[in-house]
Amino acid sequence: MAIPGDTKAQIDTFKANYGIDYDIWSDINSNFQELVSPGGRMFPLEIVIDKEGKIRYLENDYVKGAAIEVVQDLLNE
Amino acid sequence: MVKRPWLAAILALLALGCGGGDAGSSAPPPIVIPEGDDSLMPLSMVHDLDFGQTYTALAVTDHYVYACVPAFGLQVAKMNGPAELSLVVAEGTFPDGTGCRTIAAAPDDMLFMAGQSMDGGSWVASLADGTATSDGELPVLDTVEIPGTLVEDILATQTHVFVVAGDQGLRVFERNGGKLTEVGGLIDGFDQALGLDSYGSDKLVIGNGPSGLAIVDISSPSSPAIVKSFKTFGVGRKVSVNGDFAYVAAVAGGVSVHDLTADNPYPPLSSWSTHSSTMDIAVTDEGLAFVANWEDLVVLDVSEPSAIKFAASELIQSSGASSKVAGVVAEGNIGYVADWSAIGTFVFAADREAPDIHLSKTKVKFGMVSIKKGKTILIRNFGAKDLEVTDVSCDNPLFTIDVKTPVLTVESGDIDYLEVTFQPTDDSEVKANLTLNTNDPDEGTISIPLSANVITGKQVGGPFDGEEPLIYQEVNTGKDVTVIGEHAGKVVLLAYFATW
Repeated sequence: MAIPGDTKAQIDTFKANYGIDYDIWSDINSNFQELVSPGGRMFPLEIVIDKEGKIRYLENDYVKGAAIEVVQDLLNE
Repeated sequence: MVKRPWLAAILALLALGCGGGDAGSSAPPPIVIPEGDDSLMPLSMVHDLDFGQTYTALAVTDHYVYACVPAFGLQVAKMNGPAELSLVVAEGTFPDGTGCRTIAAAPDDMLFMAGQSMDGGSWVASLADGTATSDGELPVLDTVEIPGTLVEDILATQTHVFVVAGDQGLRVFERNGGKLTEVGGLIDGFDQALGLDSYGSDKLVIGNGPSGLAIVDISSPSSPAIVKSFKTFGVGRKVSVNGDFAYVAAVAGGVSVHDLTADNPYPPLSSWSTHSSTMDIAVTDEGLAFVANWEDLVVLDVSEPSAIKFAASELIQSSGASSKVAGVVAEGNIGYVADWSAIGTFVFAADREAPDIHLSKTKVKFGMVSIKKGKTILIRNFGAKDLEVTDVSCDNPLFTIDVKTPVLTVESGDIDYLEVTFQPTDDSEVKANLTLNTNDPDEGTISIPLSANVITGKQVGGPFDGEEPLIYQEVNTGKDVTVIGEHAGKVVLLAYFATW
């Protein structure tokens, strides 16, 4: 999820430079940025959304392995 | 790159060895002897919350530290001494309104920096050292555009500026003072050019991403040529050359040392396995490698390149945002650090024997919990003396802490653990603090935030109420999409990022 303001050209260059082949979305409406405001930071930010579209993990940091653990839990539900 | 050493140190100054290896350095390097018992400690840290922080790269001249802030520009700190930094400029704007991504100082103190353009390309700009003023003026002398790529690193000499730019390899600019004219470049042979350093007077060593390293002959700067390519452990990211040895910061691959005179410099002479991700490295003539290790600053003893070893580490503790150690410059026994939370200077003191605690988790998140759950915190002792952990306690009875003995002794280089268990009750978000005392000289009391969300299918996390649909835009189509509409029935892991 790219921050609001990053252009398609910037995102395409970023993907090419780093060999990224997964989907990249843009938070053009600042929906995800608003999840951590006020008081939070735009990044680091990791979010896990369950099969019903609910946020089940939201962390204003990269906690190694934590988001993956939640994904695995949700896949096993 | 440090241009010149400190001539006045605050505590003590002992000149050792010959001239520094960095371009333009001719006087002996500084050796500052800090007070206290620890082997690695902060001297000074500054940050500006209003400026957005996220310092990622820096250049150091005689009197200033210049730190890139990708979203905003450049922050400048004046050095009143290595132990005292003070912010000079809280704003700087550059072409396209975007911020600084990387920066380097030339031997004559001219600064060259690069940032990202809105059209997806990059710009490289020059400015003179010391011209940043208290009213925020940063007069840019010249700017050149580099379309279609991100500039990853810069090296400036008296006559040329060498730029590495990912899949576009190496770009070479002739400089006339601050005026830049592109005179050459090289794409063939590069996979992902990410970092560079000079090797002798006519070569560069370039970190070439997954392909390792490349030695490039620049005796004719307008016609650079790769003379040797070889693998490294991990991803060849940033590189620091000292003598005939290249020290590579290889992200998950740690640090590797390669003998550049060998017919095939792979495998490396020696290596150090990181406990995090090595983002940047700076090697001094005193046999020290300062490593920006993402979660902490690490110092390696590289006095024997064939047997490098861990010497010290330090977590960056700032009142600012989360710490991520991204960039480092070093001279003598001082490291200048660009951390997401602060610009800092740190000093390493050899032959100090002290315990050095390193926790596998500085916060413990249990996430969604519906049954009793436990997590382990590993306690490593990176120091040279026994580490003692005492008075382990928690301020919330829903969390219990298991520790083997009231005084947990971890020998030098050894590892032990604490077990934290959470027993959920009713649905709620639960927070607590685990505290422990240690005999680590600079981490005598450590507080570890604990948290858990007791759930039976309810919303957890931040202030999101779950009522409004989450909408994002597909970059390729420009179409607005709702998460639930597009991904119903799937689990989505989403990481927020900025391209700069």
